[in-house]
Amino acid sequence: MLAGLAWRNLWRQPRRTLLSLASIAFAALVMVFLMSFQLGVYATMKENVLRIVDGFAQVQPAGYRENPSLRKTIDAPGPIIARLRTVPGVGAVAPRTMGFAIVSSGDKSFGTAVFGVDPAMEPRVSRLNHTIVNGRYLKAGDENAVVIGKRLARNLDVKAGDTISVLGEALDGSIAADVLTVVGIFDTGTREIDRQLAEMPLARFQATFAMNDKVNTLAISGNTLADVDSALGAIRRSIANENLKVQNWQALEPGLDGAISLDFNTSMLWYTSLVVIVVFIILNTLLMSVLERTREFGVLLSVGMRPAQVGIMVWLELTFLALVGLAVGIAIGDAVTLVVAHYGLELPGTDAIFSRWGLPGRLFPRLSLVSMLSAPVIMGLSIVVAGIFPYRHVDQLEPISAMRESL
Amino acid sequence: MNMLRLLFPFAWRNLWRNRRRTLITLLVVSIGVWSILTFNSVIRAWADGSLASSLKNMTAEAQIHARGYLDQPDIAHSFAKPSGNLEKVLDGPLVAHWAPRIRVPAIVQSEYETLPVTLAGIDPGREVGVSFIGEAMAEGRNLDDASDAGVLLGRHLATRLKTEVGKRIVIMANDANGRLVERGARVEGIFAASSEMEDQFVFTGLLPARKLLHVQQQLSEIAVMTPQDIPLAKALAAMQNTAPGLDIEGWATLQPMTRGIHDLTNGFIYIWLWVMFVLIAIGVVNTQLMAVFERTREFGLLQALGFRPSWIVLEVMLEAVQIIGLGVLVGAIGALMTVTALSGGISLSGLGLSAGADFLGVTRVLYPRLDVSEFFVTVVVIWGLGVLTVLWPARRAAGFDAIEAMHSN
Amino acid sequence: MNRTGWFFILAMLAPMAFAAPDPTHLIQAAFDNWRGKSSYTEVTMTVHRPAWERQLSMQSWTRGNEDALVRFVKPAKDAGNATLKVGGDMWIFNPRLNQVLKLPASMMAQSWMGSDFSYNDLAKANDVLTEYTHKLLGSEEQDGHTVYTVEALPKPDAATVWGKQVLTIRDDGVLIGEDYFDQDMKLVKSMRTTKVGPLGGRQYPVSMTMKKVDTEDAWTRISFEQGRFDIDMPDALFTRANLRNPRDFGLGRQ
Repeated sequence: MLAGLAWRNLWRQPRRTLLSLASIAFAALVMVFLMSFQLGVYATMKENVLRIVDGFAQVQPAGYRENPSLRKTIDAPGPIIARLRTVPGVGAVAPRTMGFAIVSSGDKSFGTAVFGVDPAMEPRVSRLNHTIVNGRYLKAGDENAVVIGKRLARNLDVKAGDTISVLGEALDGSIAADVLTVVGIFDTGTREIDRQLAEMPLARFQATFAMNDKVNTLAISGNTLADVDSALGAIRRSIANENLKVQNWQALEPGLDGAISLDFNTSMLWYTSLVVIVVFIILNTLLMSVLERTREFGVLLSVGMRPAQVGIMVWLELTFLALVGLAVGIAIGDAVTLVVAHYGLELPGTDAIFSRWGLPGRLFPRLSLVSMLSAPVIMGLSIVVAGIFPYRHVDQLEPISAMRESL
Repeated sequence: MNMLRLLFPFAWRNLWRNRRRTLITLLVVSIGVWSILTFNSVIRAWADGSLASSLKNMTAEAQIHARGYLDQPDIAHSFAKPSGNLEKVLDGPLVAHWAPRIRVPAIVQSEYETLPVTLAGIDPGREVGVSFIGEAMAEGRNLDDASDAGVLLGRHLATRLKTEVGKRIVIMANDANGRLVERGARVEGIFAASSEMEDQFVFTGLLPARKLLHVQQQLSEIAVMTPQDIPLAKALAAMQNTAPGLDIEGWATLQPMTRGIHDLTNGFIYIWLWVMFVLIAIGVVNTQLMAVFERTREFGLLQALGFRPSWIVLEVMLEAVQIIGLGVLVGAIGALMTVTALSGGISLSGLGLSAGADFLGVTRVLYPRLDVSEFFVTVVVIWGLGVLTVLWPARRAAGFDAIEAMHSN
Repeated sequence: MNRTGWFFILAMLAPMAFAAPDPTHLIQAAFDNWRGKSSYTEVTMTVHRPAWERQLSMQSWTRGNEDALVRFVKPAKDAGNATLKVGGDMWIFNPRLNQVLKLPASMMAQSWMGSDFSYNDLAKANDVLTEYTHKLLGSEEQDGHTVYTVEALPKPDAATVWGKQVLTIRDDGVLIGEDYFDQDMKLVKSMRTTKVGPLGGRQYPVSMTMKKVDTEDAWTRISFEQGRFDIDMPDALFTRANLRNPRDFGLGRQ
């Protein structure tokens, strides 16, 4: 009965009710969208950064991450790769080798990190091939080809078509020496990569560095980072009996992980202040309307309603207001999020970072139960709890003096 | 205008006839304005702090190099100490701090491990305000001055080398003639910063670094910080004009990734501020509308007493001007006081954020400051909004038939 | 006491004075024995690891403390590779690339041919003589020789990572052992002479093994097959041109 009264009370003052509803709905809408957007941005940044070279996860020999060395190898990668490909969520597995060597042309020579990669698999894990500015990336069938960074090319004074020599130490300690033709030059925009990285076909690397069919790491990619993350358990199981470790994205990019955690934790502060302010505003306007209705409450009291009941009625009005407002806000927020998720939003800065890698410069919000419900639920609870103030005020009213109260 | 003079104090007294309603409005407006202004300062301090921290990781706002250094960062690509006009610019008002450095690739060796690093020969006194090194010592001590021949290692690097304060390590590098040179050095201190800094940099005095590399007055790099109120572009242009033979770049060109993240963060901040603004605006509008619509009886009475409808509108607007104005004033002063009180620094560590911050070497203290123009804009807009909001309902309320109005409610 | 008395006393003290040799002289004697003013040696290096073992044969020319040329002879994969050290610089030559490359600082730290020696070890071989102060710790008799133990501590500004080195040197200058300690005085790696025999007219540590203390089943052994010492070395031997195109100077197989 009180509920019915409360509901009708709300609609006796449609303008006031609608305004309060609008405030709550707007706040809820904003929270849903912003949180979806924020989580979407995190996901996009993670994927984009990992797509540059790392891959979404890697299989490595024990101790490789702390101290990478040519000597730490995965000995029979073939069966392992075959097993990994059967894990649902895993899209591509790219075997890689890495050694430190002197790369030279004429009388110029520089220490360089040389990668051996599979030209067919590698582009499915890394986007380096999109940054080629001169010539082309490696392709299947290449033998003595190599791609080098723009700054290294400049230092060596070579262009596509020229040859360079590579001199390093092979796996068995002997000298690894080779002459390669530069088929492409890449420009990633990151100075260190452009200055110190070269990629050559895996088979040729293995031959030159006396590795037979051993590799150093397996880089794993998939449709989305989430796919690979949820496949990590299965991936671990399929390499269980080797002396190998699976490194998840947090291990591969700890700096990014730290940055995202910091940003998320800090933004919790902002969300909290937003909720506090909204609740405060709602409460105050509600308090004001309660004060306006003192006469009305006086009448109710005088016809026999108990103060507590009047208080509960007011509290119910507040609760309905919150529920309806939040529901509307969530609904519209979901709709807006889904629309933006379809088209994407371009913000300044994202294009600069990602476009050179052939990655989209737009950001997409991601709707999830967390982003959809967490903020509204907290706001709703806060409002309901804060309803104690008007309740107490009403509870203390006395019929006669209330009825006398004028504006 | 006489009416104005008459109505002004009348409006004021009217306000205070209903103390509770007025106080609540005052509260909503002042708290709303206070929070938006304080929030603005804090969130900007946070964004500025993040940028400043990443710039303090050896990038600074601008860097001066010899041409070709960025491709081949060796000692052969060094330049002479700045003199003449460049020195004037650096010592002038456009530059707050500038730090001269030797910065070359080198090898650091201990009994157990040999690792590639970047050797940075610095003047520790000049690095204050330019890089993190003065504030990051975890063990031992900072270098004394530019002639200190000891070295500072990052914590993670020291662990990998299995060395510690007081022990000796050996630095190897290629000198100006391409010859291999080396020097033993005592580890004077260990610093804690972002993992990248800890693993990459070994610091020693500028003069011993020069001596090792067989150069006299050369520098690899000058890192520059400008005062807060000077736009970087201006300082860059001034420096580039006086030294066209050198490579002078700003941080946005040197670190495009940092630039991208900074822009993104700023974008987000604008979104946040607009959201808050709209919410507070709705709150103010709400209170104002309710205030008017609840008072139709009163307006009817006034009309019956001879008030013209336009006077009612004017009266209501004057109430709004006064109460919103007061609220805005109180909120603004409160924000001013809060920001001034907090300008000594808000520590993030108590909020459990320090772990992530440590990892990145990000500052753990925020320094809010006020942006005067934003201040005024916010104040004026909210005031204007509050006043304009009552215009329509006031006109409606004034249009009621007097008798009907008195019977309503 | 008259002059004769002093003479007798000094004569009795003299043998004791000579019996306690100057430790720096001992180390110098070890280097003289090892390399002389110049040397030509043929060496086999065995690198042993838990998973594999490799044998390399090489010819080595040294002059003084600064110049050295090493050319690999076996196995075929490595034959023709050579390393030249002149003063403070090191170059390597690779026949397949037909190129002479200067060794940058970053490669100096890498191990030499996969062994337990780094290029740096080869380049700085006589540091223990010049960068350390020496103290005689003691001596003992072994196989008819006196073997001295010398402790070498780095001088204050020495460019060396070690906390100390301990060398055992025979009275005829043959190096018996060398221990490397970290700065906490913990043993890190050890070299031991496993066979002393005649080489080039002198007694020589013909077989030496280097082993890191904390590794299992990993060591490097050097065996000297042939040697000639204090021969005349033409300057042209220690040049990049010779590194690339070996000329026969009649000093030994080239």
